[in-house]
Amino acid sequence: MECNGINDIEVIEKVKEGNSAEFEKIITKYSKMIYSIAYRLLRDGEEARDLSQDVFLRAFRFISKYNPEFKLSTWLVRIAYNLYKDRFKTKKLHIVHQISHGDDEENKKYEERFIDNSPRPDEKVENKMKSEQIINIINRLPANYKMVITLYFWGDHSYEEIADIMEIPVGTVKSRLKRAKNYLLENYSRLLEKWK
Amino acid sequence: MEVRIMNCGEIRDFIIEYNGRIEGAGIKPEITAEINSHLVSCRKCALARERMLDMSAKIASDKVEIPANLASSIISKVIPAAEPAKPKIKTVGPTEISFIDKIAELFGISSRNFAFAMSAVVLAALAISLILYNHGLKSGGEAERIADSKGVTQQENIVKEPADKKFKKIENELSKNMTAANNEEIEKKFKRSIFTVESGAVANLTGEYRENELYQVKHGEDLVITYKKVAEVIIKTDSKFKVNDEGIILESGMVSVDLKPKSLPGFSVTTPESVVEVVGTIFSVASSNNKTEVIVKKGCVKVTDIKTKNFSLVNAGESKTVSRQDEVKSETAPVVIEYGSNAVHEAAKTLHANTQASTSEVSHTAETGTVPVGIDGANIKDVINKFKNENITIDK
Repeated sequence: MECNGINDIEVIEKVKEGNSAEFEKIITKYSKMIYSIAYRLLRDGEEARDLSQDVFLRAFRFISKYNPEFKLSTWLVRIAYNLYKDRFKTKKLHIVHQISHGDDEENKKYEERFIDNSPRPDEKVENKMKSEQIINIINRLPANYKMVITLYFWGDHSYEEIADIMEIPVGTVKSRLKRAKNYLLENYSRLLEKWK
Repeated sequence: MEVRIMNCGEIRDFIIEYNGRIEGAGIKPEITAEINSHLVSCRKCALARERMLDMSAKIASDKVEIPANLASSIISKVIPAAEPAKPKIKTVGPTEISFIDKIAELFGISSRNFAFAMSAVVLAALAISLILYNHGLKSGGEAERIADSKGVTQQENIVKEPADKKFKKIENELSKNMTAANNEEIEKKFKRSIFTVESGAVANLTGEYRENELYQVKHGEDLVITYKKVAEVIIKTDSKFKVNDEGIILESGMVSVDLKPKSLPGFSVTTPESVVEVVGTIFSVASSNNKTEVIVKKGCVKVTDIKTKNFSLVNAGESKTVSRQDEVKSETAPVVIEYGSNAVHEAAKTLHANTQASTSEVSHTAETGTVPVGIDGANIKDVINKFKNENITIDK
């Protein structure tokens, strides 16, 4: 619970006692982490900043509800996830793609939309394009799969922490992760085949 | 002993689980050896592993550029804007029942229960006097004495006037004491609570202020409150409502909300039929006759039917009606007033037109003689003044 010289529990106790200024320490410590996750979920700097702000606003308002059994970072990421889900619903970004095998119609739509059919680029540009395409594939995952992938690859969270954040069993985290990675690999392979 | 050999599917599971990094992943040596052996002989699995490694590396290399002033900008927006949720403690202050205390003091009674009983007796006596007076069963003796002493022939007037004044004086003083005490008390408690009364008056229907307590806006006045310092809410005359940490529960009447964008996530107005959640906006909600009408002037709200749990987003210029008969209608706003010089006149015309077109949809507004108003712009005080006490006459 102690990191960067700040003891989260002590800081939270002070905030609960009415010392609002202490909350600055929490923001300073965790804003980069929250922003990184928000950015990877939303892929928009302004939106990510807004979401990060909302996370800390909500955390500050409901600081009395914080359960010290969980790491503060876990609680903050959980808030971020819930806010993200709300926005996801609001913006109707629901993914029509199912994470399944052999849906030709869906695959065709996917290819039409995301796979670049232009001539094969040189290696340097190709690598960049491949990275972008992978991000595109991740962006098209449904919210709960995208969150698992984000926390797994970039959040440095264990399965147990991801389970706590998303309030699902560890087994579900593992199965979602497996399906999501499988989906990414399949689509990435399809993209490479297309570029050959 | 028979040794089972893994198939391609099982090998792929390992590849996916360990992102293609078989060595050093903590897998048993004999399994690692088997996977490696399979990869040498199976081109497809080897390719899958290569791609998985490549993909994982590319994902890991994705970097996020953190804005330079991120923490400070969040601090500046979060710390002044929010108040940490305070623990709910019920307090009984010394001014809680001031009228009863005054009666107790007047009669030198120490027991508050007895003082309460005395207060009830005094109020009952006043009520009986009023009833008797209204039925013309007043005593004539005093009236005649007054008439004789002043030598005035218009007896009825002379009798009525002092009695009226006397009664009114008592009534006014009593109600003043009670209202002042109540208002002072409510005001103090509101200020400590999640909202502050800016103007207007509210009648507490059941006693002291509590979260989720039912209030009614005084007749002839609109209540203007600031909710959590970021939302300005106008609750129209006679509306019945509750306030809690999630927002406003509108039992009946009409509420108009002006909320700073993204300042209060989760703020909602709940009616018996629906939940109207804010996405960042200016909107009004009217509830009556088992029907809720939501009109959005600016931004967007999410309206959830409490019974069916179906929800939909209502954007600027649109309205939604949710009735208890599960009828959900969405159409262009029947009445949305742009704030301006002819706003009320235009509203009356619009309302009239819509009343002719669809009486049921505007029945509530027509009955009460008011229209839902969307409030535009930052100068809400001016708008509030416009909004208050504007009765729209409908041409019959």
